Amino acid sequence: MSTNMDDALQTFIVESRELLQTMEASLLEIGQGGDDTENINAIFRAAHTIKGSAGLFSLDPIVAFTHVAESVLDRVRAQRIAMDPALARLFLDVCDQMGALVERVASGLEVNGELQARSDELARQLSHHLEGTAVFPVAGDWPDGAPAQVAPPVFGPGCVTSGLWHISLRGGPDLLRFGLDPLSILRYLGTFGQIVSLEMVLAGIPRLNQLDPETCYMGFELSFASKADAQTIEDSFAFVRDDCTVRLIPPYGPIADYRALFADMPEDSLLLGQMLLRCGSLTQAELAQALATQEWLAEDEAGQAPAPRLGEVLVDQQLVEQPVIDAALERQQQVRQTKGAEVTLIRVDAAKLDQLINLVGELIIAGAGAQLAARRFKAPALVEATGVLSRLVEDVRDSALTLRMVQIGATFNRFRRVVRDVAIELDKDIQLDIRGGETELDKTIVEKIGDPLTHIVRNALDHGIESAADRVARGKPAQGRLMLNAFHESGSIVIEVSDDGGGLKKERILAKAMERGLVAEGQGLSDKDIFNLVFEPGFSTAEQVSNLSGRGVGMDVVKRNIQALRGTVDLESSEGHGTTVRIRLPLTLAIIDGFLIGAGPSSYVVPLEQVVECIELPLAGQLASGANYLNLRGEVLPFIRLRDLFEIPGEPPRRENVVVVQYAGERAGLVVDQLFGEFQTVIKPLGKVFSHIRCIGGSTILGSGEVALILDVPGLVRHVTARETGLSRSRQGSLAATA
Amino acid sequence: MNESEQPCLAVSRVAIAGEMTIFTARDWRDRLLSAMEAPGDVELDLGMVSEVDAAGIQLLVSLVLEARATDRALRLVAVAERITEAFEFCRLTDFFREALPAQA
Repeated sequence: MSTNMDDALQTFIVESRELLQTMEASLLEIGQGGDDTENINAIFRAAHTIKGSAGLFSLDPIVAFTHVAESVLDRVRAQRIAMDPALARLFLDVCDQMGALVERVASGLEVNGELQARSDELARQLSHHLEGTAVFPVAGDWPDGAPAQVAPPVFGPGCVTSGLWHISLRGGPDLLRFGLDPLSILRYLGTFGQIVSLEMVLAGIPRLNQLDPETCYMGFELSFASKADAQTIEDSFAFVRDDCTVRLIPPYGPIADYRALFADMPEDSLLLGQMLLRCGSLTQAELAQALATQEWLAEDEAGQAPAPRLGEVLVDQQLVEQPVIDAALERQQQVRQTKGAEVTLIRVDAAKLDQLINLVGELIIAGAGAQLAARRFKAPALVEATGVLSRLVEDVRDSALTLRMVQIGATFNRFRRVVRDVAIELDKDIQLDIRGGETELDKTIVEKIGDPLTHIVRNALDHGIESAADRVARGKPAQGRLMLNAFHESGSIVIEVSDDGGGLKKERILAKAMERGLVAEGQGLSDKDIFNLVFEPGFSTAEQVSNLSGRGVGMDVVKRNIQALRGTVDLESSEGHGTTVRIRLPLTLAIIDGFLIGAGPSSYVVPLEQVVECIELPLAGQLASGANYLNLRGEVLPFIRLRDLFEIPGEPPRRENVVVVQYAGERAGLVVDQLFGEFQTVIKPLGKVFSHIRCIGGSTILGSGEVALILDVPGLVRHVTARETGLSRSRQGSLAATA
Repeated sequence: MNESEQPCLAVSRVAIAGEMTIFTARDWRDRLLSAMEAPGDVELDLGMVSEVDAAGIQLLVSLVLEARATDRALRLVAVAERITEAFEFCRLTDFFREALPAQA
């Protein structure tokens, strides 16, 4: 039981976090020109659900606090007060506070004085919005049995004058046996309203010698004052719905509902009528009306009435039944929807997924082994079987990997709040533009990219975008723009953070770099090189240190974090027009489609996405002697011989091949002996001992059991192009002349 | 839980102690029924009840009905706070005051 409760509590915490995220997102959407009604409903639903669930766990501080928030939201929903920017700001604080309270529960601690004080303060601020109009008072301040000062009734003819909910509850025989206590459910009602009067239906209880003490014979009739909606009240009975009859009649409900109540309940109508009178749900006149029509109906059903009246009765009956049918249909719909949601989403422990992916990795290696063996035995049936098998394994791999894929949108949306808060703090007007939120990437990467991204965004807000006055002076729109963008490009995901701010000042970066001794005077650097200096440790160009960024720590940490994910970061900037920081990350960390190549006795793997094409290396005579470049359709392609790079002894074969690889817009050729083709590669990280080796990203195991090294293409491309860049420009000219 | 019955001068006394809930309802019903089957008045001691739920309330109502049906006198010796609370919540205080008069 207690573990069940723990599980349920965990679910509550996880769901609350999600709901709070939704709430925050919706709050930020308000006033952005979208459909605010939908947003307000979403906010209300979030608060409402959290309060309801918290009530089940008796988390009183959350219930009490959220209750006030919900009351205000209810008024917003009823359009009694407007969700203006000030109120939206207050609700963001409320949202944070709810988060803090939930986290407190998550850490297993009681709410401390400081947190409670904050709750009280926010509740006080919220309660300002509750003054003025008198709706249903909050539980506790309902004057004794006085339903009179209720908001002006909107009832039509045939409706009762009572402004209270009427709840009729009849326990099913097994209610108690299932451990459900109707009293505790009724007490729960007290958390969002007040039971004004209650009549216990004792008529069904037999005397002691006929009593089965575990069977429920009781019923309750109660009038209930609450500003909660029908759903909330109905939800209170969610656990007992199957084991008892619950009827809910809204304030100013139709007399027809009461008539149906009399018809359905097993008790004598007069007795029940007296109870409803005592509850205050019906007046004497209304009771007479309800009972009269009922008798009239009963008479009619007995077939004693003349024919024309039968039709009227049927119509009348339909009138009685239609809302009942609607309600029943609606409930069925809800059940179906909940079931549907349960089917489409399952929460899975991330560790289990990792284990699955590990196993799939082993499966791929084993499959490759089987295929190799089959080829060796040259048994066609076996070769075919292993072929099919490996195709299936490939599919399994793909779907296993997509299990870990999540959209980056959720991460991006978090920045709405960051941008808003920072903009307020800096007194800047900044618009956040999000694109490519549906781009998917590995969950581990998404989790780890949050911090570096936050840093980049803050930098852009703080140093990138100028103050409104400066912007206007420079002829730009006063409102600054920050854009987050994500897209897929050749096997990696690219995340861009761009601003339309002042851009980086090349001279200042260069001056600073020289001052710090990072660059020697007179060293020729490209623009790109200069901008990327900001990723060096201890580098900050901000003249002013704000409390957001600019302390000189950060960009180097950002770079390190991204490199740890096998990603790269670079920066583009144009002075006066803005800056774009571009992060490239691998799609997944575990398994890749590789291209297997051989040099001498060793095998190597290049990630397939980074392979552009394979060409034959022109014979030695056609190349400039000792040159490390070739003419690829009129373009210079620097290349490197793997034999040279890894110092493989022996003579190269007569015909060598070039694998053209591309990364971040740069191309390079790898000269190899043999091309083996596509190969599913399970990445095994290299041990710490090998961490200093450049150009190698990891290892994998071939079907034969041999080890193949995975080439680190970004590293290789950098290595090759860095060697060539200084010379390529002059060569381009000469090549063009010869070509 | 413990209970004691003291048949003296045709008065039986039942003391209910501990939980009076769905978990113990069957036991208490048997005790109460055997007390009701003995001749004479019945004194009910609810002073030691630690918890009561709907099943407990139902049992007490049923006991009252039994006493009415057999025309027996029921008297309340003591009543625990929990019971008073539950009576109030169910708006049964008057009902029980009438049916279970406190011992003079």
